[in-house]
Amino acid sequence: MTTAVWLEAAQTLIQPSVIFFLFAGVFIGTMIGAMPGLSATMGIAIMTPITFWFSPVNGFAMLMGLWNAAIFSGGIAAILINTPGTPASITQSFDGYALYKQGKGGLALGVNVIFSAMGGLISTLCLILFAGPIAKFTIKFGPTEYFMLALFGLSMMIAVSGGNVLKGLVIGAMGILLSCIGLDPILSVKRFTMGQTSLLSGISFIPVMIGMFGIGEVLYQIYNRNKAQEEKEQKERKVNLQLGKVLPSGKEMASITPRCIVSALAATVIGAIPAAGGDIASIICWGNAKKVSKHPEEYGKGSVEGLAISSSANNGVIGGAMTTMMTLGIPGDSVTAILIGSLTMYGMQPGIKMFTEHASFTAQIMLLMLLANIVFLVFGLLTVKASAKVLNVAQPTVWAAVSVLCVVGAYALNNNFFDVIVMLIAAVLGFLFKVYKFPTGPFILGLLLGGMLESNMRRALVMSHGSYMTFISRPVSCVLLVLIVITFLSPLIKMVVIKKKPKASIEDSV
Amino acid sequence: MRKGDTIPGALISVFGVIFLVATLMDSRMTIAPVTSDGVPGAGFFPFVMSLILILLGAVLYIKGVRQNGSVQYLSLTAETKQNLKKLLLVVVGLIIFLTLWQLTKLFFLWVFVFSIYLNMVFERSIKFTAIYSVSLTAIVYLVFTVAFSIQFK
Amino acid sequence: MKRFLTLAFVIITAFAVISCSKTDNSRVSSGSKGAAVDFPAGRQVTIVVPYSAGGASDMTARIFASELEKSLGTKILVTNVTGASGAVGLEKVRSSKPDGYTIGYMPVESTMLRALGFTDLSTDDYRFIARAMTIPAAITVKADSPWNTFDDFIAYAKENPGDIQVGNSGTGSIWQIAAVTVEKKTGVSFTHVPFDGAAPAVAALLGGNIQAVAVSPSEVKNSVDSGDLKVLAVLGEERSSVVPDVETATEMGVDVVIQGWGGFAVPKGTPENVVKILEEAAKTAINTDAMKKMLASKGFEHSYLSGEEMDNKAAAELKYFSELIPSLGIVQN
Repeated sequence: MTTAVWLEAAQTLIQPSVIFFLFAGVFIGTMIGAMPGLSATMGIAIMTPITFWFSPVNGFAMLMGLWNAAIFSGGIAAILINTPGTPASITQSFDGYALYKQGKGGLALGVNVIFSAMGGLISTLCLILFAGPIAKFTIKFGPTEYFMLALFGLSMMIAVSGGNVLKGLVIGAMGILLSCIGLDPILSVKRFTMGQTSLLSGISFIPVMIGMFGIGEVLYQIYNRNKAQEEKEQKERKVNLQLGKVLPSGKEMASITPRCIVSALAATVIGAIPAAGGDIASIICWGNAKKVSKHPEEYGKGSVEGLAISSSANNGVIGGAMTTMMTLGIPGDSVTAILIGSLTMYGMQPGIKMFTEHASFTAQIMLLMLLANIVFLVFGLLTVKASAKVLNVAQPTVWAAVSVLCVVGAYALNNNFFDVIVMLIAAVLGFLFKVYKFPTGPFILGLLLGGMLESNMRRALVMSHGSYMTFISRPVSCVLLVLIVITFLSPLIKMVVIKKKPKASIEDSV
Repeated sequence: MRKGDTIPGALISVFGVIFLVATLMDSRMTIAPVTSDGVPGAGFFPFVMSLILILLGAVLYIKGVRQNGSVQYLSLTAETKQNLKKLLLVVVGLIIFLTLWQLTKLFFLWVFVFSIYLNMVFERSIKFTAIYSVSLTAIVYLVFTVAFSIQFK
Repeated sequence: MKRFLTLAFVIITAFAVISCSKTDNSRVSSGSKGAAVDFPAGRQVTIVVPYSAGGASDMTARIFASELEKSLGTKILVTNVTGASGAVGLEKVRSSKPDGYTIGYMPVESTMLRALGFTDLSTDDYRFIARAMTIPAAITVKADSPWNTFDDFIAYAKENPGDIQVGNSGTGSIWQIAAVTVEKKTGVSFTHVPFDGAAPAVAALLGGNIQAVAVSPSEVKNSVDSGDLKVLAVLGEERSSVVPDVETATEMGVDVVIQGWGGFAVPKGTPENVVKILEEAAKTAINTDAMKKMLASKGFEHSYLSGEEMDNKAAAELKYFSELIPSLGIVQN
């Protein structure tokens, strides 16, 4: 991408409407992230049908603002009530809440804002630097390579299944099987459509996401409601501890910053791995930082450094996840899974075309991500003390609004009532998955990548006239195949690694 | 029989069997290549995936039996019983809401009623319920119908 | 108890409102039946687009709507009802009341869907009010490929049956039919590689994974301009404004015309005088400069046809596709 493209993109962004939607996104994102139970994924799933009616720039301004801000503000709830507002902020509650109880709540909130923004900015810079070259590398990719990529993405199911690989595989296979519904991608044969015209193009993905992360999540929260716990939290909120100063001193900044840069870079790489999201990144970064820290004993007991590491790690994931999504069309995490859907609806497809034909839009997205970080940095620091108020919203208030908005959103997407039914079924499924502790990540991966897997495998065979050797004889495909085999063998290796890490927290967060 | 992974395992296998049978019954979904050059037919993928699913479901079932109830998911305390009741009320309300909307096409009326119903299930005060439902309905109307001209039919 | 009384009260009120609005509706419809010439009588007209917002079809329909709004003198709403290659949206138009208040955007696929076995609807179920544009198929190869003319290409394909891999935008798509028609008319054979849409097919051609694509000139325009691809032949009635130097297949003596088009239609059974009013208004709307400019910017050919001409044309295409598609060996009922 040339300088001219960047300049043009920057010019497009200086429009009142774009700035307005970016701010709106950051504001909504901060609210959603701060409220426990409303995850960034849920926010994006509910807002996508709305943004769909904007122009692509406005739509992505809102989504990028929302996503970046929601991940940062997930830390607010983690710090103030020891409950991560979004799964990615799990490790922030380890140190943040301890700091708050020591009367350094303000500092904790300030560190959260500053280092979240730093993590986000660093990883977005990585995206800007590396996405272009990676995309260029994919020009030569044919169906054979895309089949292997999809398979590689799916093999990551094992990585995201947390403690239970078997359940991850089960649910992933179910996702792939459901992706077979509709017209078959090569011969246009109807499959499992039960005479429904609406099923011809397959199960629509975004309604599934809305159902699973929206109403499904609400149902689980209703089921899991613990009034005693709620009252306890309410009381804790009323204690009104001193927040104290907000900004860390220059000395503190200087000692923490280098480590956070490393953690942001590591998180970018983890984010780029399909389906490994902010929760996994922050746990890994926090755990490793503890090992190399000069004061490992402070970790988990109110270490500013630990909190800063977690903050930069979970926002650092965003750039990495976007890199995989935009260059390869494979979701880096559940949010990017939805973003693929909204790109498609805007008539764009992830891949090399994003860097040639739609280069200016891609540049706009990247600049929007940078801007989103700057906006929430300013917004977050200004509202540090006010942000605690969001936590006073009662759960049922959120539940009712989410239920209605999910129905409206699922319908508005295509003006099709059938999508609402799909959403409702996905909601019930999502609830059951949660109750029986099936990870949802592999299901989403299977549903999204199943089509890519099948169509490219059969397309590759059309081109090779039926010879399976094509998967081994092409170099990139062969390398990927080796990686896949390693991944499938990795649970054994992983068992050893996980034993050293806080295992329970990984399981909870997936 | 509410033990561990037995029920989900069995259900998943059944799910796989349904797809397997549907695949085998449909003559257009051929599993073997239809053309001479050996490209698998439309039924190949569903066939393989449903077989894998049946197998994995069975493994899950056996694992559940072996655990012999040491892992339990639905622990019915007094509170969860209450919560389950509410959950059911929400789901039933949702279905009734969707049905009434489709029958009468009066979307916003039923959004309003549904919102009141939800707030009653969650035991909110009457004043709160009224303000909440009016503003929620108004927001949906303004955003979707006025701004995006979506017709809820 | 008090709560449930409130709910009961709300529901009763609700039903009262329904019954009121029901009588309202019937009054309006009976009124308009008596004076059908009084169309559109200030009532809102809806245009259903069977593809998602932001796409080329959607933009065509939206510009058309804003022009039609002026020539018809009433408010027009565009709604997107998507799914199943457009079958869901077209189904919605067909099942709507034939009173002229619901207009459908008709893509070329409306003549193909029945033969493909996706749905039982066809253009026989509609009355066209106009055709707005056409978009021809074209045979495109890499700029550094050994073929410089369409004849070279065909000659090579004749000597090496099945060797050239031609990408298209999906099995049963108009662009696959274009490639198959070339095959039939020239007696060669290609290996057809279906992709999920034209863009991935063009990407695969750029990456050298396939040797040619049969898609529209506007879909390859960027790469042609950058010197990566070249168009060998346009399969339209006339040359494409996107690549005006490239001859049509007909000019080269190969009788192949396959093109996509976009038109507007109402369900069959719409009163004759209402159709006439719509036809007149659509003619004015389509021939405005705004419409022409927008079509040109998207790489479409502005090509107005009246409703009746389009009805005949669609019927002929319907017949051709109904014979051709089953012979493609993709649909086995």
